[in-house]
Amino acid sequence: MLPTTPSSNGHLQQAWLICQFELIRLFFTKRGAILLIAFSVVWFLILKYPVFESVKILSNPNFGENITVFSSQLNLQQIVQWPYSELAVYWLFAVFAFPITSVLMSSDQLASDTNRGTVRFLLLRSTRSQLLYGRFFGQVLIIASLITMTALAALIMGMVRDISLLSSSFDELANIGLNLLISCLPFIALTSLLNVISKSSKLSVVLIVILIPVLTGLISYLTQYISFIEYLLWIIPGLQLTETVQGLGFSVNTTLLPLAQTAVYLAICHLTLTRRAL
Amino acid sequence: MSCLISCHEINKYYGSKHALKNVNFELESGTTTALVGPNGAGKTTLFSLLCNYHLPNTGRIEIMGHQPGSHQLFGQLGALPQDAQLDPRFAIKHQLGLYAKLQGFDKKQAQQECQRVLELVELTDIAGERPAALSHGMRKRVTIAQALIGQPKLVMLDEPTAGLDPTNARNIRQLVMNLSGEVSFIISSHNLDELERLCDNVLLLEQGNLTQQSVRHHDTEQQQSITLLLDNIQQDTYNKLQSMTGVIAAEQLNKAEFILRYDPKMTPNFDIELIQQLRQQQLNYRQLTKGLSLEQQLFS
Repeated sequence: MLPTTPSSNGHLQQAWLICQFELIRLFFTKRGAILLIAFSVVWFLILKYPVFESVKILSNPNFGENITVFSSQLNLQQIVQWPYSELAVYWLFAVFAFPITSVLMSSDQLASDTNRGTVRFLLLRSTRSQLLYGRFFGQVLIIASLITMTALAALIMGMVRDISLLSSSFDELANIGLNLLISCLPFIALTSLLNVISKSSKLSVVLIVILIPVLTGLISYLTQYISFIEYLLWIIPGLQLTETVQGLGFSVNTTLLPLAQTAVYLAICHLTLTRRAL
Repeated sequence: MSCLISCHEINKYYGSKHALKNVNFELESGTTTALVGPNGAGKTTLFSLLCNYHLPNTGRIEIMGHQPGSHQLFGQLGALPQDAQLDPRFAIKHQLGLYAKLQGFDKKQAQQECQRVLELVELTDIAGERPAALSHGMRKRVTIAQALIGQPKLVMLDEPTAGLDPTNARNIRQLVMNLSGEVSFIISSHNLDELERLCDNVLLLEQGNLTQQSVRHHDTEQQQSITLLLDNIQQDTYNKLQSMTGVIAAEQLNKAEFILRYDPKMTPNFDIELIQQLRQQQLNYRQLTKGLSLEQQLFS
C-alpha cells in the first residue's frame, strides 16, 4: 500500500494539534485521571462545606473583618454584595487554589518528553516554538475547563437555593472565569520555563514552591536598604492575588501585570528552548 | 542527482571537548550512506545536528536546501534517534497518529498511515498496545516505523538493528534495501557487514574528524583484490595461494582469511580461474568477495 500524500499544515494548526494532545493527556491517561480525582476530592470538600454554607458565612456581620493574607488586610465588601453567596465563597477559595492547581497540572509540559527523548520524534514534525506554545495553550485550556466546571458547580448550588438570581449572576460568572484564568497564566508560563531549565517536573514544582516565598522575602528585606529593588517584586507571579480576591475587575495590577509576566516568562522560555540541546 | 545534505565547516563543542572538528561533506539524493566510527567519535552528535536536536557552534548545515528544523523539512526527513523512546502513557496508534497528523494527514489518513508503517515493520497487531507492553526489539521497530511515516526523502537511522534478533534485523535490512533509491538513508552502525551490503557511501568519523569515501571503489586498485575465506586451512595454504596463476601477492589477514591481489589486464577472469585452482588444490572456500571488505577499507 502506497502512502497517502498529506497536505501541509499551517503553523497554528501544528500548535493546535499539540494543544489537543495535552487535553487527551489529562482526560485519557492514568496520570491525568489521578490528578483529576485528587482535584475532584479537594473541590468536593470545598463545595460541600464552605460553599454550601456560604449564606451562613457571609451573613455573619463580622465577615470580612481582619482577614489577612500574606500580611495584607483584605477588604471583601464588594464580593459580599454578589447575588450568589456561593459564588463569593467559591471565589475566595479559587483565587488561591487555582494558581497552585495550575502549577501541579502543568508541571510536566516538556520535562518527561525531553528526558525520554519523545520530544525528538515531535521535533521532526514541529518547531520548538510550536511545541512550546502548543503545550502551554493546552495547559491553559485544561485550567479553563476546570475553572468552568467548578464555577458552574458553585452556580448550580446557588440556583438550587434561589433560581431567581440566576440572570443577574452571569456577569459575575464570566468575570470570575476570566479573572481566575488570567491569575493562572503566569504560573503556567513559569512552570514551562522551569521545565525547560530544570528538565524535571518535580523539580519545577519544588522550585516554584521555594522560589516565590524566598524571592518575595529577600526582595522585601533588601527594599529596606535599596528602595528601587521593590520593582523586582513585579517578576514574581501571584503577588497581586490579595488584590484580585477583593473584587472582580480589570486593573493594571490584577490584569496587566499577570499578562505581562506571562509574556516575559514565555519569551525567556522560547529563547532558552530554541538554543538548548534536546 | 541533487544535493541532499551539505555541511560546511561544522564545529561542535561540549564544554572543552571538541566533538566535531571542521566537518565538511555533501551527500547526493538517492544514496545510502554509512556513518561509521568508534564510540565517542561524534556520530550521534552529527545525527543530532542534522535533526536539529543540537545546534552547531559554528558552520552551516543545509538539508534539501533548508536549515535543520525548518518547517519545509517536516515530512521530508524521518529519523530514528538513538535511545529516544515513545511516551509510555499512550497506545502506539495514538502516538503514530499524532505524528502523522503533524505531517499533514487528516484523522482517517493518519490511521491508514499508522497501519501502513506498522505493516512495514510487521507489527500491525500491536497498534493498540502501549510501549511498555512491547519488547525492546518491538519498540525499536515501532520507532523505525515512525521514521517512515509519509513519504520522507531522507531517513536517518542511528543503530537501527542494535538489539534486534537476527530475523528482525534481516527484515529491517531488507526494508532499507527495498526503499533505497526512492528514499535516501544515512545509517549509523557498528555492524560493518551490514553497512557494506546496504550503503554506497561511507562517512568515517574519528575523534571528530570526518572523511568521506565510496564503499564500492571502481578504481584499478580495488579491482585487483579478492577477499577469500577458507574452510580447511593447512600449513602450506598460504604458499599454495601465493603460487596460483595470476596472483601478484597474497596477504593472510587471520587464520582463515586472505586477500589476493591480481592484475585484471593479465588475468581478466581471475575469479573463475581462482575457483578452479582452489578446487584443484582441494581448498574449500566459504566466501569469496570481490574487492576489500568495508572493514579492510576503513581500518587496515
